[in-house]
Amino acid sequence: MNTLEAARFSRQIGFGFAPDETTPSDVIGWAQGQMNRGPSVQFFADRQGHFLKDLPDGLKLLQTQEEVAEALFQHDQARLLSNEKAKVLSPAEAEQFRYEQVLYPYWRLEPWKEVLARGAMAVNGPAPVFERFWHFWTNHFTVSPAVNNINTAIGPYMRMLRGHMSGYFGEMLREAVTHPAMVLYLDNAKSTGPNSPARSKGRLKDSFNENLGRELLELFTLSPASGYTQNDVIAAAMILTGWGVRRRQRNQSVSGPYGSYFDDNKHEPSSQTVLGQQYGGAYANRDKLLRLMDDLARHPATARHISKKLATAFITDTPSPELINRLSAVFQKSDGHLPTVHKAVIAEAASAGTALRKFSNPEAWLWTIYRVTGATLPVVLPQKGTKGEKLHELLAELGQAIHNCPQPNGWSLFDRDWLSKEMLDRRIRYAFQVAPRLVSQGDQLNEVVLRQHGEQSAIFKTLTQARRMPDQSLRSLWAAYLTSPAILWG
Amino acid sequence: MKRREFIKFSASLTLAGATPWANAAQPAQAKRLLVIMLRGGMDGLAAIPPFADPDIGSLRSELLPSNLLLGNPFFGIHPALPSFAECMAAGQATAIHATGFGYKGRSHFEGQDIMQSGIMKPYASASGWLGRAMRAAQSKGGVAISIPMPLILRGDAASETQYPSWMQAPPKATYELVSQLWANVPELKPYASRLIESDNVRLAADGTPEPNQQRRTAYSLAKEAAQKMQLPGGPVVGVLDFNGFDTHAGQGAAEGVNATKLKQIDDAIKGYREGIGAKWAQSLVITVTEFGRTASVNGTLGTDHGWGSCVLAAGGLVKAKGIVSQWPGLKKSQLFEGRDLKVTVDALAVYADAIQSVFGLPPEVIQKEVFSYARDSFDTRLFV
Repeated sequence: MNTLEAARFSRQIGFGFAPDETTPSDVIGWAQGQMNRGPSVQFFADRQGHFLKDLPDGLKLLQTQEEVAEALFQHDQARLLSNEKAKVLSPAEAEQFRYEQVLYPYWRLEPWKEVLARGAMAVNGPAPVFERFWHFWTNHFTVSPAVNNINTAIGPYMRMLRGHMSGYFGEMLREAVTHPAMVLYLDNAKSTGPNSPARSKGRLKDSFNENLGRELLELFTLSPASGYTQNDVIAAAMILTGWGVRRRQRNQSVSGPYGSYFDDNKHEPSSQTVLGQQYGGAYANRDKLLRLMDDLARHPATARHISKKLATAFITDTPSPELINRLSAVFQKSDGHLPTVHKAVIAEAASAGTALRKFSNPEAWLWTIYRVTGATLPVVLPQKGTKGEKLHELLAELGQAIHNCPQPNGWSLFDRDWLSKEMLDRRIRYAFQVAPRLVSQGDQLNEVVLRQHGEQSAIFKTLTQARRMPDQSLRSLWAAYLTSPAILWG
Repeated sequence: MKRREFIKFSASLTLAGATPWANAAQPAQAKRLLVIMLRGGMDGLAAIPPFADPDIGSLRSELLPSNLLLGNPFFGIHPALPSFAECMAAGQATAIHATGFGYKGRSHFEGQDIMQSGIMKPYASASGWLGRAMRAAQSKGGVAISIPMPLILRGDAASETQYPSWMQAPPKATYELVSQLWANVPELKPYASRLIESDNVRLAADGTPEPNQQRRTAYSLAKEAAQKMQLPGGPVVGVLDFNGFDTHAGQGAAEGVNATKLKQIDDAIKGYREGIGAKWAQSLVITVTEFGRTASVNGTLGTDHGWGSCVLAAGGLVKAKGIVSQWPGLKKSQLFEGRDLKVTVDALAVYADAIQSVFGLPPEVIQKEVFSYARDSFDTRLFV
């Protein structure tokens, strides 16, 4: 690849090269080299290791299970207290109380903080291609705060997935499915087997729930294309009974162990059959799920499903059967070793030539325009009345609220789902809004466009012409560039 | 399926005229259709509870409001649907119960694809039934109150999406430059000429664009859509997209999660009726959901993915009175796979009737151009 091809490749597979970043001589090797191990998530301001300025004091990401358990507990307590207050305060006072105690800390600050860190890694981090694959996996194993008030667990959960990108799919699957955030999100925390000891002692009503069992087969591994049945779904959900979350209770100190745990009492004791394979009998109840997930992770339908999704996300909306087969073969042969699979995806993307033409989703577009221009990410606390861009709200405005995905199947991987008048118009509006910051940094438009697209490019020629037109301001030119096909399609 | 066993409570279904084209004389463009998508699987048994069914109490007493609104001697209306009930009392609303699609897979994602495509194979279609109906009727221009373009409206290139934005629109010159850059790209070309519209912008008093949450309530979204649709030459079709009907836990009865969701439907009907003005007489508002929920309450006081649900319809084009159903019953043997409300009316037949009413397309054309459906689902026309 020549320099311009490399620049385009890095926009497609990452977020483009920043103005101060040198183009590597071997861009494929550069991308693949990021796959072995990802950097830890930090509020990076540049590639020299400085951090974003103006971060609020004490702002940090939750790291340990104990911290997450404590935050979930505090959120719950605040919610209960707020409900109590609502009975005695005036509506306005109650609303203010709810805002200060619940809404602001858990529904605004948490996602804002995590999205800021995610953006900092994409825009300023040392491994943008790794970040893009991370975004793929947080989407594959989507968790969102809908209904279950698990806001504080989502960021840590997503960062947990990052760690497993250095290992095997089966390990990531196991950690994702049994993680407190997932167990709560897909209603498995209370799921109890109809013939479990807990149920037969009459202590609990039958509370079998098949949601997580269904998504385990449908979204995370096999996909419906594999032809499993409703009985398989029920059996998988039965195997999941008893997998819950150990949370901090009132009047208990914060000393672990917290997180996912298995309660034999709630587990459906007999053996279950999924895809003709029996789970139970010789295994301990707890091991049934681990055995099932091992088998699912190694199932050819899973290799196919994941390969198709990767090809769709990174290469084309319509991957050929041959492409899917090649990636599936790598997946199966490596036993789902993710760095190996990811490197294969990068190699396929590199050899796709002009067929590599993915339309950026709003998130990829946002980080791309920041990375290629070198603009500074806004650090604006998501407080009521504070002016300026709060990144998580901005992503919602652009159509992709990363920490509030509406459905467990995640954001669409298909280009067509990101093309609507409203979504396109919003990108233009935002580009126009961000442009003054670029203008104030000096007239670097030509520099950026030449670096990314070259002087023979249509975009350079059009912008050069437009410069001479009296009604076109520099701000307008920047807005048009950032929403030009050259950037929208990386 | 035993047909026609249960129309007895669906009071006075007047006979349809002999002409296959209802109101063929009236120009189709004059009519308006608002589709409200309810993602997550709306619990039809909660929205329109069959309170007189002998088995409902044992299945889900925890989910039954005690203050149901009057539907008929068999069905009640959830108290969160007062505007809908009011319309029904005025002969301008109907609920068609035990409806659903041929799809029985209980997957949200497949189900939501199918409810929009009208094609019983998941992910098989790049266009939606509403988009194809508009194309077949040569009736252009719909508006989805949504940031992305929902599948249901795809197929008509003139349709648009809109949703209140807090971001200020750039000057015309910027849009012109963008249009120039987009003009030669096939995917962007349709939008290039339509960019210069700023009706989404509303500035705060000090000139700073601010999100206006008020404009994003179900009521306001529906009302704004209606105000656009009531204009001569305005969008013929509107689509509202609500999610959150997946009430696996803590569903509630008269109040709670599900009641809040049902109230959104009601607010949308109210907002539309107020915004559309005189065109209410030529309007149809109709709901779409991917499936219903289990007949029985689950252990987390919610319901799981099921099959049969119901369709709510309101507006001047409603002809069917009250609640229409061929009730399948709620005994274990009468439930689908012993757990879900059985589907006795093809939901597509209901939408076909709506398409016939609004666009004047005859059933043969709908079968051929839009989707194939069970034409014997009910005896008479539901909509004028």
